[in-house]
This record gives sequence, C-alpha cells and structure tokens, in this order.
Amino acid sequence: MENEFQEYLQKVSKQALKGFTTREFEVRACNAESLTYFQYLATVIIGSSENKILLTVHFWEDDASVLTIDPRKILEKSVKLDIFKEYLNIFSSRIKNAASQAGLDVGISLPFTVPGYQSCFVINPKVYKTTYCWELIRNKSRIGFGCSLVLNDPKLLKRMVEYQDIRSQDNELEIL
Amino acid sequence: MSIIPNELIALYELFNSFEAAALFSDDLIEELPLICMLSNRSGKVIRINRFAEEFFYRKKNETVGQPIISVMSEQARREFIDFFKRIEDGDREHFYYVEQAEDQYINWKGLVLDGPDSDTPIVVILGDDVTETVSLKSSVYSARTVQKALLPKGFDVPGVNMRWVYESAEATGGDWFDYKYDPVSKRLLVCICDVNGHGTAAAMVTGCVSGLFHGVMNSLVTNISDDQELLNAFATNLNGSIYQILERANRLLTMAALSINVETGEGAYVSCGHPRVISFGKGHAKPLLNRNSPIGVSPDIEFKSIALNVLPGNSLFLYTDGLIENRDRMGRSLTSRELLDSLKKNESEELKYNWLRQYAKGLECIPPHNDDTCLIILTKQATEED
Repeated sequence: MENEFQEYLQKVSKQALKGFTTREFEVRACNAESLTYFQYLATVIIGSSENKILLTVHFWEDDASVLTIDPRKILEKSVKLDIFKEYLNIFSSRIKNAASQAGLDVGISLPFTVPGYQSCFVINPKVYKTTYCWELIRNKSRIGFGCSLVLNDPKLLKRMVEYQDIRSQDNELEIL
Repeated sequence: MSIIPNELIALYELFNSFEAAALFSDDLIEELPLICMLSNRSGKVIRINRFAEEFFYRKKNETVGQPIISVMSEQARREFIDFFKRIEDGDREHFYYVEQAEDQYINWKGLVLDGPDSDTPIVVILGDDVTETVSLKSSVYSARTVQKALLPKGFDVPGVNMRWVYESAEATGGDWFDYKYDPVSKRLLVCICDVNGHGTAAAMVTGCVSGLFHGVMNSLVTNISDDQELLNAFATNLNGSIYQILERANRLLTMAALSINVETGEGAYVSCGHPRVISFGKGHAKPLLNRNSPIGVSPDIEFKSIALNVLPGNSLFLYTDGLIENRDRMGRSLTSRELLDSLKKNESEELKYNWLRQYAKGLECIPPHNDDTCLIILTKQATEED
C-alpha cells in the first residue's frame, strides 16, 4: 500500500504543477536527508487533533522560474517564495479533498516558509513515524516533496488512493 | 461580502510573524560578515552564506549537500575531519583552528547547536579572515622590540647602582627612561618621561625623546659644566625640538631628569610636570621640590632645575604616575603617602626595590583604564671611607 500511496502523492504533485507550467518533470524518489539540502521549504499541515498530514515543498528560489511563463517578471525573493506557497496551497488542497472524501474530518493550515535546512526540525522523526519523499526534476531544477503522517486509521491511505476524483484544476489558476 | 472570523485573522498574522522571524534569521546568516556554514553532524553542508561563497569560489547550490571537507583546503581538512569525528562520538566541545594559507589567516570556529530536537544537532562553522589583525599585531610586536631597544639593557657605572621596573599597559607604552654616563666629568644623566596615553602612538613619541636625549645631551654635556644649567638647557632644547610634534599629535609629556656626579653625589634635578623624585634612605624619605610646566604646553618655556646632593648609601626614586594610579588585583591603588612610607622604612634599598618590583608587576596593566608603569631606584653606593 505504501508504494501505491507514494505514487499517488507523486501523481498529485505533478498534476498540481499543471496550473503553473506545461513543462514536463521527471519524478524521482529520495530520502528525507536529501530534503535538508534545499534553500527553502514551504509547509502545510492537514489534520485534526488525532491525525496529521504534514506536506512540505523544498526548493531553491531560482527554480521559481520554471513555474512561471515569464521568469523575467519574478525578480523579487518574496514573489519567488509566494509562487511555491501558492503551489503548495493547490497541492495540499487536493490531498485535503482526498482525505475528506476518505472520511477524515480535517482542517488545513496556512502555508508557511522557513529556511530549507530547518527541515530536520519541521519533519520531526519523533512525531512523524512515516515520511514519503520524492523530487520533481527538470534539467537542473529540482523541487523536493515530503509527506509525513500521523494517522490513527491504517486503511485511510487505501481509501485516499481509491478516491479517483483527482480533478484537473489546470484552468483554475492563472498567475503571472 | 464574506466575513473572516477574527481567530483566523489572528492566526494568519501569527503565521506571518513566524515566517518573517524564520526568514530574518536566515537573512542574518546570509549577511553575516564572516564565512558561515551550517552542516549536519555528518559534516554535509546545509547552508552557506554569501561570504563563504566568495571565499570558496563556489555557488550555494554547488556546495549544499557536499561534505564540508570537500571545500576546505588540504591544510584545514584534517582538522575538520577530526572535529566531525568527535561530534559523531558525542563530543560537544567547540572547535578552534587558525588556518594559514600563504599570506592569509582564517580563524575557524566550530559550534555544535542542539536544535529543538536534540537528535538533530546543527554544526555552525564560522571563519574570520584575521589576516589584517595578525599583520597589525605583528607590526605592534615589532614596535615593541624597537621600543625595548630604546630602554637601557644594563647598568655599569662606578659608584652608583641603578635598578628599574618597566611595565607597559599594552605591547608598547608611553613611558620611557634612559641614562647617560660621561666618564670625563663623572656625571650620570638620568631621564624618565611619560607621554600621556599609552600604546603605539605614545611609544612613537618616546622614540623622539630618546633620540633627542642622546643627541642633545652629547653636545651639552661637553659644553656645560654646571649641572643645573645643563638640565635647564636640556629641558628647553627638548621642549623646543619636540613641541610641534606634540602639538600635532595632541599629546603632552612629563619628564624628570637628573645630573649627578657619581663621586661627590652632587648634582641637579629638573621636573617638567612629572611626579616628584623622592630622596630616601634607611628611615627617611623626602620628595624633592621642583615644579615646571610639562613639555609641549608652549614653545618657549623656561625651565628651572634645583641642586641636589645624594649622600652615600642614599637613593633617589623616580617613577611615572602609573605606579600610583593603576589598581592592583584587589582594586586598590597605592597612594603617594603609602609610597613615601614604604620608602621611609628602616630597610635596605634592595628590600624596598623588591617590594616595589613585586607591586608593579602585580598591577593589572589592562587598557584602557591602566597606564604604563615605570620606576627607577638610583643608589649612591657607600664606600669603606663613608
């Protein structure tokens, strides 16, 4: 089941990118340590008091250019960070919808950006026993992903994967 | 128009504050004017700042994720390997290492910081380019060597004994003394001076005084036989020669000079704003009264010396104000009265010298509060006839 859930996450992360770019990205699994070596990370928590899904997107600010049609328009650092936060918003809302459909009553936090090396604190192995990590790669651009879980219901992952209504939201967002 | 709950607005603001604080701490690392690298405990770089990029000629994305030792010089590599080995073994001691590469000195410091989760310590490596400081220190210590050369190395004049203590507040000091003996006229000339302030700037002025003392005295001692006239002429010459330098450097200097016939003990003494010379022996001590303006106050001052007579077995005590102004380790300073009383004791001159030497060496000569300390004891030896 774990592999299927990993594939599901990778698929959703790729689909969420389509609101930003038509460029194709290669998916590659990685380990949690490699997520430490990004410049920033944006994070969102989907959860309730008993269940938590921590989603993180790890990136280098210069890679914001691959998520935009015209990279010349985003020169400011804050704008670059906002692009990834916006991307995480879309990615996490899809996961949240799937979790809700699977019967999990959860809320979603605001996205939050911190320096990338702090991922060792954000993805705390003492809290999150399971973490799925992967990267989307295009040439030299890399975007890292982490999904850490604290779930009471072990069958939830299966239900989320079975929820096939991963709607294409390509036309929902037009930025820049 | 939808209404956003106040709790949500407050939460949003809180998130913004946390994010700003986290990113600000990152900006601090980025702008820190030191080579700054963060690594995990296995020694892989997780953050490198702008100065480190410039130092290693490597971009952030080329360095992050790489072992720190891969960017270090061959010389520093071994030290860092040992440091990370110690971290793996649970050691949390700080790491210090000065790397010397050609003409460059880098002061490396390593700290292990335990984060909120103690399983994930972060290692902070800071590198400070101290090349300029090292060069400056080297220059100051060269100046110290030169200044030491301005002070007498030994004393060998028949009939008198001279002992001294010199303690500078910094590597170099603003106190200076020297003597000159003219075997023809049997006259011993002693000069002690104190340039206000301390450190290299004051030491440079003492260099001028030293040159003038030897140059001016050489010509005067052969032409003027009267001790008082000799000292008056010396003080006037010194003031005239050095006034402009002192004025431009915004400094003053106090000076005391003696001229004594080593056979008869007769001579003269001039004080230019300097602490009084004390004449002392077993059971008695008396400050000699002579008051003139310090050197460098005005270009045309007339100095007036007084006559003195040092009896066999008696001594003269010359010192700079650091001796009574500096505080010892207990925070106390020696008063003029205590100094006089200690010289008045019914003890040998040697015992008094040893006590004063111990006291002067024990003074905490730490700038900026403390001054240089210098003292001289000049004793006319008693002969069998005496």
